[in-house]
Amino acid sequence: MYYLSVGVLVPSLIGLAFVLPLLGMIVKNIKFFHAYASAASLYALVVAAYNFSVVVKEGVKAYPFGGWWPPIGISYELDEVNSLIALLTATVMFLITLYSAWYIRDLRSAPYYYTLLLGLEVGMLGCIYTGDAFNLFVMLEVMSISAYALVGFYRNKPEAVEAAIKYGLFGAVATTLYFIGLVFIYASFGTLNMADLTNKVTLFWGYDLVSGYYYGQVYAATAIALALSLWAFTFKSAVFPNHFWLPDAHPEAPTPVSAALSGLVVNVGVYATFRFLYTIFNPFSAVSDLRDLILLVTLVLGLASGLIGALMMAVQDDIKRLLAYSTISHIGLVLVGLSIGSSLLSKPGSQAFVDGLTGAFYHLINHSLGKSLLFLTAGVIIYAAGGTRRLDELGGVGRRNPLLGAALIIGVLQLLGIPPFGGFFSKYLLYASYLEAGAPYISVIINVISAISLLGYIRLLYAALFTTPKREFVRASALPTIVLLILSVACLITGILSPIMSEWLRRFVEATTSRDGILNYWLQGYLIFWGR
Amino acid sequence: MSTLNLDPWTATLFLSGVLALSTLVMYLVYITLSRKTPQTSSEYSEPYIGGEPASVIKSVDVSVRNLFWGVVRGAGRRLYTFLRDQMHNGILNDWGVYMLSYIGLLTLIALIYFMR
Repeated sequence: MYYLSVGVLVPSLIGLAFVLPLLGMIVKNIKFFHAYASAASLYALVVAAYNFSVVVKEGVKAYPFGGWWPPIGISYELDEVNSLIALLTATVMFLITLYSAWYIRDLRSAPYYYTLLLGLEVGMLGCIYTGDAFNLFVMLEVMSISAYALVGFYRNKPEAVEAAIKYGLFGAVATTLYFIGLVFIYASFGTLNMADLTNKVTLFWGYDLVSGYYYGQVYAATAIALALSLWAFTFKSAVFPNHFWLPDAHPEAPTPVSAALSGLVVNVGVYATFRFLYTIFNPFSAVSDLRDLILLVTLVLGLASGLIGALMMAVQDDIKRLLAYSTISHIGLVLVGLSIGSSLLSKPGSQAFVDGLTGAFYHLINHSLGKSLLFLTAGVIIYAAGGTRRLDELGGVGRRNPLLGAALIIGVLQLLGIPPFGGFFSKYLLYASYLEAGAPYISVIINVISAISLLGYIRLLYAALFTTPKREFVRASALPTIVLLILSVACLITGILSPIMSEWLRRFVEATTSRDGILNYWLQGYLIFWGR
Repeated sequence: MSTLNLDPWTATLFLSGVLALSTLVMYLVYITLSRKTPQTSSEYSEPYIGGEPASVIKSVDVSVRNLFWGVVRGAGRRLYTFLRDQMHNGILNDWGVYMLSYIGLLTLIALIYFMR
């Protein structure tokens, strides 16, 4: 169906973002910009929540831009999975924007900061909402350019500038490779609309009146396009060996931005991988054997990422760098869950298949909440300790401020996977899915990754809580404490409501990845417009 | 005899609740029974430990932090030398080797798939 709320969010939010520098020339009161950005972010949250509720009630919804039906025009398409990830993104971004009002309270360049922060949100929501592979490239660029600028926001710090340059250089390579992949796809299929591509790859109805049939060596072009796209997506999600930029970039950004990059931006790469390997090049498609091979590669990379991230956490002296390595480890685990879809491991719709994907998305949610909480807590800790990020100099900060200590413990327990927090249940699902799939050694490696990561988390807790305070710490205001409280409660809720949450996610995964679900994606996102 | 069958979710939540409750009860018992003022005695300052004076025991004490680094450095010296000094060294060219190897592997898979 033609749904205005699906199409209106991204263009209106980018409009709201780019008005800010102009307003900055007229309005001089910084509080205005805090209120403006928070209101814009709240607006995104309300629309994303509305879209999610509509999709849950009525099923897949789409919007063709400018009235141009796909594949001629760009369309946005929402199913259960992407509407949920968009809601998660909008929720965490709203909290991050609120926190930013405290973090950059006296910063004169606040209009530029908020333009970039809202630009980052627009890029993420655009990547998640889009039903067009080329628009995904455009939105990846919007997100990435905002991210590069935010990493180098403290432009007087050489480390920040170096990190931004490194991130930008490799990021540009990644998006260019994805673009070249799109050239292969367009040359072979005559279309870049995801629903139309799904149709053609799955042979629901290979011919299209506008985009025609197939051209040239379709199988070769598909293989190369998938290789290039996957490289770009694993770069965005910082999976080994495309993870090197992350431990440099995330710590150098302002702390709310670090929370957004580590908690949300990496999710976009994971989501794009899911959309490509479970909807367009789905298990029922003509290239399912190629997909099986690629999913085995993602499985190995996911495990390597999990292990390397966990090992590197243990030897960090910088609190933000430690958390950045934890992101690499957790995204590796999410990718391990996504890899269950290889037919060498499970059949579509089987218990292992559904459990693995449910675990992957559940862990994505738990990680986003836990990591945002830890980064935002780290921001307050660094402020309290006078700007130092060295763990040795943060001794006992949690003892002087028990609320801060509690937030830190909750975030660590969530990521470590200790019951009753959500992280335990998502790791359990990942573990169980590989047992079910007859690959217990992978379940054991998942546990080993968790065990190794304990070393890093212990260092964090020991430095902040179990050391006797030898210095005075500054107290933060109420606003960041409220944000930390909300995120802490959210972490607890994802655990306590795990029977309900896992059941919902299971339903979403089944609805999106089944043959009927994929057919519905094509019907609702493409064919229905031509019938009107 | 009846048995209680719980699924892993409910069992975990149930056990977590029981543990939280037990901890709370133990804490309440502790603060109720603990002394409000420190105990003083002439013998208290010099405990008799295993035949040696306390100072000997104290001198070989290892702090938790040193223990951590001892284990990490002792057990994983070679691993960390590779991971930290050769792989994550911050040099762009070295990163490029790993990242380009990965795209090479993916392209190889694509070619094998096409040629088969």
